[in-house]
Amino acid sequence: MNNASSLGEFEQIVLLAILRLGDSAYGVSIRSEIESCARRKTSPGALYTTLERLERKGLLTAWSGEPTPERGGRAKRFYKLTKDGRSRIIDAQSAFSRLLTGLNVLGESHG
Amino acid sequence: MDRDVRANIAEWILRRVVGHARASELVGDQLEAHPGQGNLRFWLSIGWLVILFSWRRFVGILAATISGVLLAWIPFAWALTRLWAIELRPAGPPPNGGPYIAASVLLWNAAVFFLIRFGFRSDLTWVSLSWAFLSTFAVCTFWIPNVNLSILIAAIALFLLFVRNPQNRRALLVLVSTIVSGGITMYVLFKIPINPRSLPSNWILAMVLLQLTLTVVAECSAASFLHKLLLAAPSPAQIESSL
Repeated sequence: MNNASSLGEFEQIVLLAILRLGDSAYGVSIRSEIESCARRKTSPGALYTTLERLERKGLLTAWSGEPTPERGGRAKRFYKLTKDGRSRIIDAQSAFSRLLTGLNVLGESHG
Repeated sequence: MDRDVRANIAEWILRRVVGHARASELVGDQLEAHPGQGNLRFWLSIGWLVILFSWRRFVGILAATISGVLLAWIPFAWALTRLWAIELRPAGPPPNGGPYIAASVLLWNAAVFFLIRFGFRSDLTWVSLSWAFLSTFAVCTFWIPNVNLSILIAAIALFLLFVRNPQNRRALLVLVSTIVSGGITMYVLFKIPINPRSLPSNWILAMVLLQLTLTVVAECSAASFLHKLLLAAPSPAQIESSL
């Protein structure tokens, strides 16, 4: 058994949003990506504690961008998946995909 | 309040709980996402973030203060009444368990704090829980003949078990430093003379509780600093190889 099961649902959503955003993934953009794609309201607290946990687990890495005036001269903190983060989200999503094979839960047949 | 002034104050407050880079990120994101936010909503958001990032620390300190004393003293009292009654005692006066109990209090303080602050899956939690349970066993049995040797053998076995793995080795280093800083604080604080005749009993209890809490705060501060330094942050080489 691999350890992909230890990724929670919201952790997977955050990792996928960061993957979708590529090099422009930071707090505000991740939140709006989750809201538009997952149609889910996300509180800043939930997002930042999840980002911190994922960073601590070594699934994300962060770096600071340039300071911008609309942020009061503060830099954006960008996030990127590490190798481990990428393989963990792929494992977790593959498991879902395998479980969906042959089912008709979304109105169309999978697999 | 001026937008920049409140943002600077909020960042200063957040830095106390999350560090410089994260505090700057949180305030910057808040300003960008809600540019026209009123003072009340802004401060409610910042207050909520402070609670979210710090509740484990405060609850951990409170729980560690209470459980450190209870988990060290209750087994000792139980063992003294039960084992004493079945003749497992040396001839002479009751044993002096002071050093054993002090060590057990410090270990349980650390173990409970780590459990709440870093969770059940943290290596540091497991390492400290193992030593805390060993200390409880020691507190309950140290006066029984030949048990000290068993405790020493168990301690060496535990040390060898943890020292083999680099992550556990670092956890052990954090634990030892935590216990040493707590031990020094406890030694210094409990040297302060309290005259029971000059103070009401409630004040004496409050003083002892304050001494215990300050001991836990010293332990937790050392632990949080060393955890960040040795266990939480990956090395630049690790980051480089993981990208």
